[in-house]
Amino acid sequence: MPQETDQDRDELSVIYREGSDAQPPAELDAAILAAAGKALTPWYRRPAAAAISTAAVVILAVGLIVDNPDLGVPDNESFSISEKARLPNSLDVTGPSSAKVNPVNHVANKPVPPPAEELPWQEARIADVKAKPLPVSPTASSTLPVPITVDEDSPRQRSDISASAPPPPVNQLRREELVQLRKAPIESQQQTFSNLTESTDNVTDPSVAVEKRVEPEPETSTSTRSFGFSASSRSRDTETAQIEEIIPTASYLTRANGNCADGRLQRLTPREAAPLVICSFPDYSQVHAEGCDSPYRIDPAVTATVYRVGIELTGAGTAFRLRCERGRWFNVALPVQPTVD
Amino acid sequence: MTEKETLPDGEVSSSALPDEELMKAYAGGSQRAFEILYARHKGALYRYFLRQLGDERANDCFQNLWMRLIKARDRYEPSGAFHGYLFTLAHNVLMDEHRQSMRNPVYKADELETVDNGSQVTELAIDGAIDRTIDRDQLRYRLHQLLLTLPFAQREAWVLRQETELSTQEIAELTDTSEEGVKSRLRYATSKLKAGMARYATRN
Repeated sequence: MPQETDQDRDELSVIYREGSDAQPPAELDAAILAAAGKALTPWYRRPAAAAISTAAVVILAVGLIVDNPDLGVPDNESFSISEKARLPNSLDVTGPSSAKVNPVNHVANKPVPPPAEELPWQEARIADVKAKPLPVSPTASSTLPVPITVDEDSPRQRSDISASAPPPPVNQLRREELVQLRKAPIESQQQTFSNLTESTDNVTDPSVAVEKRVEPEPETSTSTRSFGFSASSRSRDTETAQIEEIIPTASYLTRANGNCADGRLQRLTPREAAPLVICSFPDYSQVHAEGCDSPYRIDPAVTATVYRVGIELTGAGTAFRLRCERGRWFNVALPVQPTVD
Repeated sequence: MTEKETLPDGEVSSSALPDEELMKAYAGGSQRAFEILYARHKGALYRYFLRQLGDERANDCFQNLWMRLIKARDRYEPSGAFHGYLFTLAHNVLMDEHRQSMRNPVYKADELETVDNGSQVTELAIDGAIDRTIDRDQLRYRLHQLLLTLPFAQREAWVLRQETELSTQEIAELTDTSEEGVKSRLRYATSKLKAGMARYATRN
């Protein structure tokens, strides 16, 4: 075994230590010291933490609002839009552009909601939605491009409609059902009447000329509806009308609802469609169940193809489609897109 | 050790604090404490790696060592000399590097042979004017090259003995061996280094 002497060790040590001042590179020093300092800084105090935190908050907020639109800022515009969205009856009956609410009827018919100041704005808004009826304003209808008014009791007189049109019976439709209908797939909404009628039964006459004035049967006059719509000769339906899917709730026409019955799509027989006539006025037309009174007249240029769950009105360059849903008519063709000739 | 005060915010105001307190101060949030510690030990640690691994690998291991120390700052418990703790970490880093180099050996057989024969040093000596300064530099170079030819355990023991003030017992604990084993490694290492240096001196 070799013997290590102190002298040997000392000689080697002297050589080893002579000029043995090797030090790490300066870059290495800087990197290590920086890492040591960074380790002491909490992550939320680092420069990038603020940006990351802000981005995360924004993303979460946007995601929350997108998932729950009711949490949006309750400015006037959003209220107006939300009113359209939450009033399926008035929207569908009077058309989307007629979503303006007559403030007189609106205030007169709605129950007094709890003071908004005492509730969070979301709760106040929900309370307001629940309390509001679904008014139909004749004023709004007459000023909108596609006004359709509803009159459950006196369909024949427009003046009566304006004066006494009650709020649509929103209670007839359950809110959940309306929401469900609104969420129907687009594919199902794109069915046209003609396609839908192919699978129907009890088809006897696909179209009914409405020039012929037909007196309604007595039982139908108790609950009839009329529909007014503009019939601009310059506009033309681009055949893009969409029909919401209708969940069948009845298998046959309920005459008591005035030609409007839910169920599978099915064209009406002439007799069933007879109460529906189109009364035309210089500015607009209406679908009447019992014919037209002066100054209305039957518009010979407009024909109505009445189906069991809907009616398609076609005029000179104009087409409208109405749908029967839960015993009520809805214009499903709104807005009618004019085609530039 | 005359100044052991710390600033109210925990910043170390004196470099005279012992290593253990500096380490605790760093764990408590004092960047200055780490800077003092680093300045104290960086040279010996760097050479510890440099003499056994060469420049490039020494840099990697040196940085790896300090990263480990930074991560372990909260777990540090002063149970012995801090430099012993520090070189234990260095030994672990070196062992990891050694295991890796066993899979990817750095020093090839022909390189070791070149160093053993002293041909590389001889060529350098023949090449230019030789004065005493150059001789001393070449002697150190020769010694460093001979170190690389030593077995890993002998080399580490010898470098630890030169770079630190650790006793044989402490080196034995650090390298997880017996004190007699350390002494044996030191004897073999010294003998081989002396023989190599003698061959070089004879040629020149």
